[in-house]
This record gives sequence, C-alpha cells and structure tokens, in this order.
Amino acid sequence: MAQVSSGKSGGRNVEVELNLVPIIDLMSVLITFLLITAVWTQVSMIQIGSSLYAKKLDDQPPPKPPPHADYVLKVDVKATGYILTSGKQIISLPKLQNDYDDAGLAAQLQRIKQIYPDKIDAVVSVSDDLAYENLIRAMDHLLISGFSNISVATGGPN
Amino acid sequence: MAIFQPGVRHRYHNILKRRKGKRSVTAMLSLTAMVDMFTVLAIFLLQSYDVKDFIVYTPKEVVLPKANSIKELKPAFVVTVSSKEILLDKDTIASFQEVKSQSDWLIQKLHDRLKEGLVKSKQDFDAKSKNKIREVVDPKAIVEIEDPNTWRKITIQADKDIDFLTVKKIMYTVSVAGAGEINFAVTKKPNDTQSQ
Repeated sequence: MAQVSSGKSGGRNVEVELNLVPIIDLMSVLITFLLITAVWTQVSMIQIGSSLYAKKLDDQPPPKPPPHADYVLKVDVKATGYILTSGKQIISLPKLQNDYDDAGLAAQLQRIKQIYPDKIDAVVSVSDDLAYENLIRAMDHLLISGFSNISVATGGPN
Repeated sequence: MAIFQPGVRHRYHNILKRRKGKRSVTAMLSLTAMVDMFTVLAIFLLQSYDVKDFIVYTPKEVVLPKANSIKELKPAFVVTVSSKEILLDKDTIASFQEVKSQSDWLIQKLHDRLKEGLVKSKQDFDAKSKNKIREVVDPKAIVEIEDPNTWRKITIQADKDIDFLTVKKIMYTVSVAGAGEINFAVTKKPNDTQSQ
C-alpha cells in the first residue's frame, strides 16, 4: 500500500497511509463510462457542394454561377479508365495494370487548376455497373485539387 | 468496543497479528500496479475521447469507402445502402435486391417516408428560427447564422461495392422527395497528408 513516512532518526516515526479505495472506485467508474461512450469508427462525409443544377426551393434566389462555369470540367469513370473533359479537350486515362490511373488524373486536375485557379465547379459521371467506391475516388481527387463544387451527373430515369 | 494501546497501528494489524497456536497465512494485495494501469487507461481514453454532434449508425455489413478530403459529419437524414437492405435512419425501407431489380428509379416507400420526415424537420426548423428572432430582441442573446437548408440535408452511407445505378436510384428518390444537399459518408484514409 502507498505509505508516506515522515520519520526522523531518533524522533517519533509517523506513517501515513493513502486510502486508495476511493481512487480505484473513481477510476473504475470513469473507465467504464469512457469505454461505453467511446466512438471507435470515425465516420466523416464527402460533400457534393451546392450545385448550380441542384433542386432549389421556391423562396430561394437563383444561385450565382461560380467563376469559369462556362468552361466544362468533367470526369467520366468508365470500366476502361478515366475520361477527362477539359473545355474542348478530351483526355483519356486508361487503366494501368487493371487499376485506375489516379496519379495521372491528379496531375491533369492540378494542371487545370493552375490554368484556372478560380474555377471550383466540376462534374462527375460513373457508369451504372461500376462500384460506388469509384464515384468517391473521383470526387476525392477533384476536392484535393481544389474543385469543391461537384455535381454528379446521373442522367434521367429509364 | 476494544481498547487499544495508544500509538501507531498498522492498517492490517488484525490480520498481521499472529494467533497463538495456529499457523496463519497473510496475503496482502498490492494495489499500486492496478492504480497505475487504471491511470494510464483513463488518460488514453480521455485523449481519444471525441465529442461529436452527430453519430451515425453503420451496420456491420456496410464497408464505407475511404477518402482524403473529408468534413465532419453533420446532422441529417441518413439513408443506408447495404448489400441486404435500404434503411432510412434505422428503419428498414426495402431489400437491396428489390431496389436493384426494379426498373423505376423512384423508390416509393423511401420517397413517402422521407417526405414525411422532411415536413416534420421543416416545422422544427421554422419553430427554432422563430425562437432565434425572439432571442435577437434580447441584446444578451448570441445570434447564430445558420444554413437555411439544414433541415433538408441527406447523408448517404453506402457499401463501397454497391453498384452505382442503385445509388443513383436513391439519389433520384431523395431529390424528388425534396432533399437539398446530398453528402456521402466515408471513412478517413489512414495515411493522408492532404485533408481539409
């Protein structure tokens, strides 16, 4: 047990013992509470952004178009790879060793951002049969490159 | 009550004192190591303790995609898409196969339930806004500027391997029901260097 000895040689020896039981009680309650309320999986979100084309309420004013909105920036995710439409230019980034060319896409997006630093809007479209993960991957690349106002092109229902 | 000789007595003097004629075994627990362990554990848990406004329920079968550029999750209606079923908050709406096989993009049950929820959410938001106006009259009250679209935000949390057509159907249905901003639930990439 925890003891504090204040004895001097020749004097009266007084030993004080700390009572650890309340500390243990407190610790047990605290640890139990923290373990129960702990969040182990950190779920975050990826934002599409307030799209110009999104559904608006009647009482809301029409949104102001972002800078260089007339310049089309679109990422198509297809089974064969990425197809990047930058204005009138179409850049094909085929799969490399059965995996999407993420480095190539990131480099192209950085290049476009350098040319149009004010541009923040972009469009993503994904083939119907592909996994949803590919949409997040393309959106993530656009957000990292500074295109925060992303629209997801879905086409219309059949 | 027993009368003891004045002076210092050991805490366990009753246990420690030898009994005549009998062989005694004394066992004393050392609590110092346990207190040390508790302290370390409490510090670790307190450090990793994260207070969040909104915690989302994720079923076991849903593996969220990973992303670098993430934001903190905000309160919203949560549509969960797993390989088994579609849920709105925690209520099951339809089975995944049912939604996948249907040709119509509108998921009627999800549409109706979400529309009901959005009406209620709008009423709550309006009531809250009225209270805010009352607070403005009081100069001591702190005025917060809130996004007017808070009540119609939607978070979609879908398994990473779900086909995009099913996610599109969900997106279409929530848009028709009157939802505004759509966000996607993700988990943070472990070795990220660029995050917002």
